[in-house]
Amino acid sequence: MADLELSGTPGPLRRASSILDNLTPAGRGVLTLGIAALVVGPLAGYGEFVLLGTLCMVLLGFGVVLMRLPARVRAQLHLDRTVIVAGGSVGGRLVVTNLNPMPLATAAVEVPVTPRFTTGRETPSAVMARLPTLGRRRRGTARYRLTNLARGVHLIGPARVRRTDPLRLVVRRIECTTSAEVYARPATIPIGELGEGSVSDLEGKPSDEISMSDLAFHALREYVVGDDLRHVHWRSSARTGELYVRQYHDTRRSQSTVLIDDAAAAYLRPAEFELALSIAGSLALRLGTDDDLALVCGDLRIEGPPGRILDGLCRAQTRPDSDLVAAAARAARFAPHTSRLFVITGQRADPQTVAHAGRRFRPDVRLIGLRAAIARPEAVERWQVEAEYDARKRDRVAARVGLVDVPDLQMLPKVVAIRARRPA
Amino acid sequence: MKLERQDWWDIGYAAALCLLPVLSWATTFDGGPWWWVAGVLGVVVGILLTAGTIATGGGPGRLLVGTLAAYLLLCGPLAHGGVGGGMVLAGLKGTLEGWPMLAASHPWVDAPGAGVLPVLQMTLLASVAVTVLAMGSRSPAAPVLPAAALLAGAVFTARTEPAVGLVQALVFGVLAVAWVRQRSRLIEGAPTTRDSLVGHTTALVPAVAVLAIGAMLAAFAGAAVDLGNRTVLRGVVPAYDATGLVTPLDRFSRYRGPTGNLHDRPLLTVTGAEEGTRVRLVTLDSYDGDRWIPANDTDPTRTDDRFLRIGSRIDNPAVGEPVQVAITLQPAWRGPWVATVGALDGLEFGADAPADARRHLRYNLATRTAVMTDGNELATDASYTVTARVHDPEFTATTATAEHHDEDLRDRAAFLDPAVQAWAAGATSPAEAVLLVAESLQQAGHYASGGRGFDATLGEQRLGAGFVLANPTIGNEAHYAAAMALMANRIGVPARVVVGAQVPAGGTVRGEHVTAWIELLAADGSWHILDAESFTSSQRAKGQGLDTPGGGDGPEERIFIERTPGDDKPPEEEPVQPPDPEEAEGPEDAEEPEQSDTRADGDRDLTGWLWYLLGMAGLAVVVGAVPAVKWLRRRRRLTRGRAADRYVGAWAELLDQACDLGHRVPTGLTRPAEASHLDQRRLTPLADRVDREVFGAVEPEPVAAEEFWHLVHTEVAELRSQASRPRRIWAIFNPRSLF
Repeated sequence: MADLELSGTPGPLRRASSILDNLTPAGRGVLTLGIAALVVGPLAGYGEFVLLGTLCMVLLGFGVVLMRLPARVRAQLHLDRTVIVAGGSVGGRLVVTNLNPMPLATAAVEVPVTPRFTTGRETPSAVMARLPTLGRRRRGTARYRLTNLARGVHLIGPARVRRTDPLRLVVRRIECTTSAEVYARPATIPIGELGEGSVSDLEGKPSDEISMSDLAFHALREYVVGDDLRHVHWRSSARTGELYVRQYHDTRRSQSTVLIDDAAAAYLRPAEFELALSIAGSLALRLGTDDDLALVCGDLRIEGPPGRILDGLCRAQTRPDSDLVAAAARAARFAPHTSRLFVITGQRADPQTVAHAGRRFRPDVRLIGLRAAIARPEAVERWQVEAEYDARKRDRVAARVGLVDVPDLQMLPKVVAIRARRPA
Repeated sequence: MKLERQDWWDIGYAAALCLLPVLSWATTFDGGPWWWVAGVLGVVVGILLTAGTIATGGGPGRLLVGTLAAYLLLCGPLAHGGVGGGMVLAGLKGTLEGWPMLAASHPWVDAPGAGVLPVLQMTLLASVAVTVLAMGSRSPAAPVLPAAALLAGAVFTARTEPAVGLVQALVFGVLAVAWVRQRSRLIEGAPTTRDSLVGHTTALVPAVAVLAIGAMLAAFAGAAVDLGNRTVLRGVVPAYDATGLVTPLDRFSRYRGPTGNLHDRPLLTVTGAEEGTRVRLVTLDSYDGDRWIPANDTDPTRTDDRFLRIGSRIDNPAVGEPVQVAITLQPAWRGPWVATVGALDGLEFGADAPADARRHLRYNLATRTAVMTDGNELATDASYTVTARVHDPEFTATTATAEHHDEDLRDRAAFLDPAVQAWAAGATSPAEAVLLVAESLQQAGHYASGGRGFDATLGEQRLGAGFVLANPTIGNEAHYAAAMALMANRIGVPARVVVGAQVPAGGTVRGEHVTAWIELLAADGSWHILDAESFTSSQRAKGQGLDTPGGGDGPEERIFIERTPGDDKPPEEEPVQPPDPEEAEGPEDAEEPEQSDTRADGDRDLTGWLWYLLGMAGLAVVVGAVPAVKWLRRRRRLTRGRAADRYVGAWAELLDQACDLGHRVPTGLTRPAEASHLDQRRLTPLADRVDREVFGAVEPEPVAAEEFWHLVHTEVAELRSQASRPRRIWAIFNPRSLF
């Protein structure tokens, strides 16, 4: 009931608070000064302060009235790019047309940026740009630049034109565009050698299934409407006078699955999860060119071309109650033909879990475990004794399971190459 | 850090906003533009010091020390009036005396002198605060607030009448808003491009226009408001309370009567005054039911109606003929009251007066009474020169009298109603009523210069049933003046009693010249004199009325017959015996209570100060004890013992700081275990290191111990930064770690 009453018509308190919201910091300062002066003035009989307070209030009142006047602008939000690498920047411009009968004087443009799926706190921020003074029906462009965007999806906009009175005491924000998204993908690194089978697997293992487009030739058959003219065997067609097309054996290509541990507890610090995503992205770029690739990170399942997988990685997030083994089971159902499994986790994860996760797949699946283990800086010396002991114990198990540490994205190609050369 | 463009703007605005309030002191000080020098020095030094400290990366500690040093450097020359010997002492003394001098003096305050030091203090503090906030705060309006506080402070400590008027506030407001606007542009964070810079300049035009219109509207509104009296510090500080002092009216028979032996003895020598000029000993403007007293704040229309210090010149609004009179005290003169002439423009003590006489002198501009504070009476042969203006209009039937403003005083005089109603009947104006009553009193009364019990009291009993309402009415000037002033007040004309003398030929005032007259307030605010002769009977009382006035078997009640117009016959009086002046012996014990009274008052005042000082010292001890003990403890840990002990000390210091910050660490644990209670990850290595160094085979290096202290300081800073601000502040005073 109380809630219902509260949400009724706006009371004077709410109206006052809405006016306060519309004051700039300068406006709030002037209001404070005005109130203080109007309290001190009559109390102590100081005409100076009554005058000072009146001046403040008159100027604020003027601003409030001015900002109540109707104001219309039309604007378009442009982004130079919608996909960037994490930590990068993206420029953009906002084209604003003043539809007011009055000129719009040096209005500031506020472009809010709401980060989503980023590690760390998702606090919206805003970049500001300033428009030139816009005459009636004039168009102006404000340029802005969003810098150092963390990995994730950034909601840009809706842009707001901040109109202020000439003294910048009262502000009015006019939302004038829709919003756009910028994908900040994890940083990646090219990987060369990917281990045994990857080169010889170029032709794949032939199967009994017949395909119209593959490598291993099977037979010729008569042309039917709809067949691709590229597969017409012209020499046989010329000999027989009828069109013949080639048929192939379908090649079973190797399918790779990348499984990312999204348990928050597995990672020592957020940067490790980001490293894990970068490793996954780099692998995806390498594998996606010749393998079928599926990527699973908790509930997130992505497949398709590498670009799509990288975009998908923008939405990855750690969760406090995630289970790697369950995710592995889902991945096994999702990609049943997996021949090679990459499990990426952090240095606080239990290596046994990785082994358990590997067992959710067929026994012949080759498991490559990678640990995003950012080298502990000086702070490591302060690592508590028990924790150090645990870590060493984990390291021993990890070595047994076959987990390899990736301390740095730059090291990934080497680590993968070394790991690849080692027999399974 | 290099100062940027905005910093220079800030410095400029800060200087303007801090210098404007200084103008408020323009009419407070005497002796040249010293107030201006103090204010400008305070502002300029404060701003430069702060900006310099911030620009060179200095912290609050350096700023504080710098400010103190700047003050100590500047206060000497300002208090002394130039560079020279005794400058340092003058500065330090002035620091203590400056505020009482500025706050409790009638304008003008002497400058150069201690009085200008508060100006320096306020401007220095305010300009430092303004600059710190301007360069350190992101809030656009924050730096304006200390400047506004300085304006309030300046107005509060300046004199009641505004020095500059509303223009000052208008300029201040406009500058303040302009600064806030300018700062908000920077803080909004929108980058300024070349395009928008052009726009910015064009945007200034409407801003200036809006400011101008706003200022005009505010000026009209501000000018239209009448706020009444301004509250200023000199009107609020406790003025000197002279009500407890024995007044000449209380002991009037000493001068004229047989008891005091002062009748023929010279009291004062007055040179430079014409014969007949009135010398004022004391003005008594309040009646407490027992006696007439010189009170503070009795005139609601004035703010200078209190006993405050005076400088060498006084800005007295009174009018009159300028005179310069030299007064020398004679051996018979005693008492704290300082005889003056007219309305003072200045008072200079002669060489034989004590050096600090001015410090103990208090003057009430409204009652024109000067007094020395308790125990600091001027000694015999002390001399002083007064510069004054004399204008003593006589009270006549045509005087337009003022409205009465003290209902309390009127009510207190109600016991004289039978006489007032009977004697004032038929009067057409209050002035006429006063004169009628005066005439009747004179006719009805008898005069006796003194007698036993004469000086006992001027209470209701004595003035009512024992004097005016008695038959016969017998008394001296004191009784007549006290009763007459009460009756005038009852009629509705503000009246007060003045004890003084008219300068005789030759200029030597003896006891016989001392008299008591009353002054009545006219509509124009001036006080008109009703001389003692117009209401004091010259008919000597006979015989019995000495020991107990009104006769041995109790005073008879007077029967009042209301006069009707045309009936001018005075009521019939039985002749009474005049008292024999030699017959009654003066009760000499009258001297004793006077002495003890005065001393008691002085003691009380001094005790109050002592208590105040003791209280402040106690407060300082209470507040400062815990931080001081902690500081000592830290020093001991840092410097005492072997290097290994310093490691232990550092760890103990860390634990104590954590404890003060509210962390709970059980006692009796090993250091690593203690660390795991606080912040396992960060502190365990430290604890391990202490253990290593303490239990290791080799004695650690003292240098390493010092470095370890730095590490500990970093950790403590980290712990502190995690705590909330109140917690941090409380940690300084938290005594928990001491137990």
